[in-house]
Amino acid sequence: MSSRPPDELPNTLPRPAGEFERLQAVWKRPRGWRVLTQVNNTAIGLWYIGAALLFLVLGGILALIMRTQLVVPGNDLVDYDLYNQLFTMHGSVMMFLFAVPVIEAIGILLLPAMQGARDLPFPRLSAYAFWAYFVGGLVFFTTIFFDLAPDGGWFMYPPLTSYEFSPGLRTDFWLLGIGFIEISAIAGAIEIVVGILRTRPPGMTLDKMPIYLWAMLIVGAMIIFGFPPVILATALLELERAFHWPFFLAEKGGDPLLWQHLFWLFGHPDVYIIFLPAAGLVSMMVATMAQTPLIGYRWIVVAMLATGTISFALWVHHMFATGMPHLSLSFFSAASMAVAIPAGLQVFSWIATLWRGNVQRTTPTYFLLGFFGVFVLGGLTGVMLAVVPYDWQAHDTYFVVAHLHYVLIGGMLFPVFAGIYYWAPLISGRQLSERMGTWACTIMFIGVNLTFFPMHIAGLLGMPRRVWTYADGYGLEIYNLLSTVGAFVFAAGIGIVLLDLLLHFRPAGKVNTNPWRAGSLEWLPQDEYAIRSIPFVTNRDPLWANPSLPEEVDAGQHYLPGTATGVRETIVTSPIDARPQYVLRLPGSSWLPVLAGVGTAVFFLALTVKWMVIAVLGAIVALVSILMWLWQSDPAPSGKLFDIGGGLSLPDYMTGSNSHSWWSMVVLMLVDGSIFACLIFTFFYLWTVTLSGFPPESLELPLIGSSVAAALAWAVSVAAMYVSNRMLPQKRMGAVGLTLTAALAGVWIAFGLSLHALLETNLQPQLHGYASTAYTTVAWQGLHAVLLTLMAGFTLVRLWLGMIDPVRRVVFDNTRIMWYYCAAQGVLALLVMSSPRLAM
Amino acid sequence: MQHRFTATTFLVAGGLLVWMADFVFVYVFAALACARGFDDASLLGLPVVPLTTVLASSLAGAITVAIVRRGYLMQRRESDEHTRFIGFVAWAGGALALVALVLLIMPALVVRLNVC
Repeated sequence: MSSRPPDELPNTLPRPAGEFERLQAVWKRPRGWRVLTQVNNTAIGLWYIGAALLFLVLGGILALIMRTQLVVPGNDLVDYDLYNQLFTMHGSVMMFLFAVPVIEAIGILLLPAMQGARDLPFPRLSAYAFWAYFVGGLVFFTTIFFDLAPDGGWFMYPPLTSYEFSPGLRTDFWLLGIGFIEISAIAGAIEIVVGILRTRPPGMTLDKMPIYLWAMLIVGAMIIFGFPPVILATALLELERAFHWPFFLAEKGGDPLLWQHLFWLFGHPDVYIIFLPAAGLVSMMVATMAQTPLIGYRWIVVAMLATGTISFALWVHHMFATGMPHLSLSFFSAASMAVAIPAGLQVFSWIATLWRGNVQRTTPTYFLLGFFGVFVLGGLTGVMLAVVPYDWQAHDTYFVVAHLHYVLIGGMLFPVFAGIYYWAPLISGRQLSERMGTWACTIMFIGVNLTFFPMHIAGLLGMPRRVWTYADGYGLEIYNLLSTVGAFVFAAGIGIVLLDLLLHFRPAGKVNTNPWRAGSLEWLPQDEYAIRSIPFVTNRDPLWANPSLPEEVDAGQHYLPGTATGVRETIVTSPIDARPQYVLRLPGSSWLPVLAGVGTAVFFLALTVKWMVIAVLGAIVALVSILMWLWQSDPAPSGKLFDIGGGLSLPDYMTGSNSHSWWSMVVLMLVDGSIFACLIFTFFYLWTVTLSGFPPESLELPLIGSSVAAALAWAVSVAAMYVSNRMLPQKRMGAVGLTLTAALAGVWIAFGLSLHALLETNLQPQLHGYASTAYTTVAWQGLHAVLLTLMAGFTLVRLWLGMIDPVRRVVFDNTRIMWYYCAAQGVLALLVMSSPRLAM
Repeated sequence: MQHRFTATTFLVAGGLLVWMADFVFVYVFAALACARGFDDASLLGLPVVPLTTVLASSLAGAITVAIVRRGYLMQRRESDEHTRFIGFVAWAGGALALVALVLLIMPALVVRLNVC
């Protein structure tokens, strides 16, 4: 298909009788109890945002208790032990249960509408991500009521959090409790990245993407590479706590700084994972509020790309006080300065847009102005902290607390609240209260500055963060009193927003409103099926370019005005040029994502308290549900072409890199590869810092013979898979099954030999960092052997039942590419484990 | 005009990815020098760690300039609006990466510092 728009509207009027009714029927939402089985991203997005706001309130209450404790010197409202739990839970809840989920939630809600899609490609994955997060998050929060909440700070530094200094379950709740949130975040990222790349409307090339899509695409990529370090770090610390494998114990060849590297490799990009989507929302709102196209659109895209990239080179600026090499510090200081340039570019673009336009004086605008003030101040103190000598003075003081709250509240909370007021009519059909919104914004702005500005001074006066009380006579009293008053003022502002939502927000059925006169596609008439027909996009602000577009779309004059295949569907387009490729049949409502999500949360939480039977049951429920849902996810191709209008007929099935499923598998492999890369980093990092030998002379290296044999077994396995792939187009199904089985045997032989190479030496994982890393690397291969067994078994059963053939082969292809990846990883792991031989 | 995903991705993010690769290299090299005790080593009378930083970053700069040039020409010569946009993002991203590269090598150039 040409990338040019059609000369005439793709479909004519009147539309055939019954077309609209059939579309309504397939997208009809379940009622009663079955409402929980919804997978539609609009519903899931709303629930997700509601849950995130609940956690904002819960985390905020913890903050108010802390501020009350600090209102006067020597207060004894709470003791130090509870205070430790309060600040740990406040940080963890705000970062893991509010900030990251809410940005993904807004994406899941807005993206389909903004890109004119009926839905994103994996609605059940979004539902799964929500349920795992919501159930797990609630249970995680309740630990505070049982004196079981983690107390090591939200970044959980060992050795404080290792088995010696933090016995008991508190730290385990953090380490395993964060597990399901990580899974949920990555599931959301897969949906967002593949959704943006493959379900944009025809014609929406890169230069016509709404800026919010760019922000979410970059953030999705950042989650893919940014979350794996913390996934590995939490796994390693849990292994150290549970089995005494010394990754972070210096006396046994580990290093506590390894945790800081891994944590901040996640933690710093996470700040931008939170900020960039908010910046994307700001760009969308600023243009509408100023009623003029965004100035510097192209520069903002560049700025976001630069911010996303450079943010991965900032992690050490949280570690300036750890005694790292001076030159290394200067590199990170330079990167910290560099990242301010793209941030500044965006701010100037927003100001210029507002300057040029005719600004609507409404609540979203007020929140945006609040965002400018608060965020810019936070950014400036960030540049101050990027200067190493200054950081040494301010490190671990209230100055840092002030800085991070200015950045996060200014950079994320104000834009999100602006977004709530801006996009609420999209769901409820009417605006929230202007009066309450204006009051809320004013009170929040006063509150945030009253709370956090004095903290700069308290910090410069030497008040350390995370102290449960302070002594009289150091000049800290007035600043703490002001901060406490400010915290309650700020909370009152948030309370007004929530009250406004309670009073004035009710999801409506069909919505046809554009109160701000916006130009982007989400303001097309929306119903349960999203939009009636999918337009060809010719402009960055399509509703401004063509004011009659809403009527045309709603009348069904654009693409896919009904249901072509008889089920829920959307158009899949090419990733760069947005050319229509096929009609994607989407799954409907189901209990399976609910069960899988709840099962995942139960597994992690029961594992924490060592309720092994319940943990196993949770795992089985999750696994069976996921397998059942995957079973339905590769429907048979009809072999027909479906007319979507404009003379365009599309198939309902594609394979290889044209398939949306292939893209999700590639994204999953990127996540997996990033975790593995962090494991390799762990190995070489410990080797570098361990001066007593890696491994020490008293320990042996893995057997070379077994290692070579394991590598050969991987090669044989890959060869068998390659042959299997060659047999499939020839329809030699028996041979396909046999070679796939042989490939699986090769995997287990390779894993067995890798393990044998360790077991036949004197290496014990408890003895030294080398041994623990080597065993973890082999265990990682074992985990992949189990994964490949599940995938091969799934493929073989479908093969046996005739559900795989030369055309219907997406399941086979996904198994195949994962196989090649695992083999490459397995061989690399063997090479790395044996690499100390080269130094001998 | 049709665009390939991998080629387009590496073009638009090319300059920044080169910067990232250089950053990782110079950071790891400096860390190894301190951990393994060759931070005082010199080559042709020049300290080896700052010298390596400057050389590696210069190479990265040369690659980035090539990306900037390619993107700029693409933006100037192509008539297709989408392709021109891709060219713009490539050169502008590369230009930002060059600024970040200059900031990166500055300490090694102008400060006679104790590496560790």
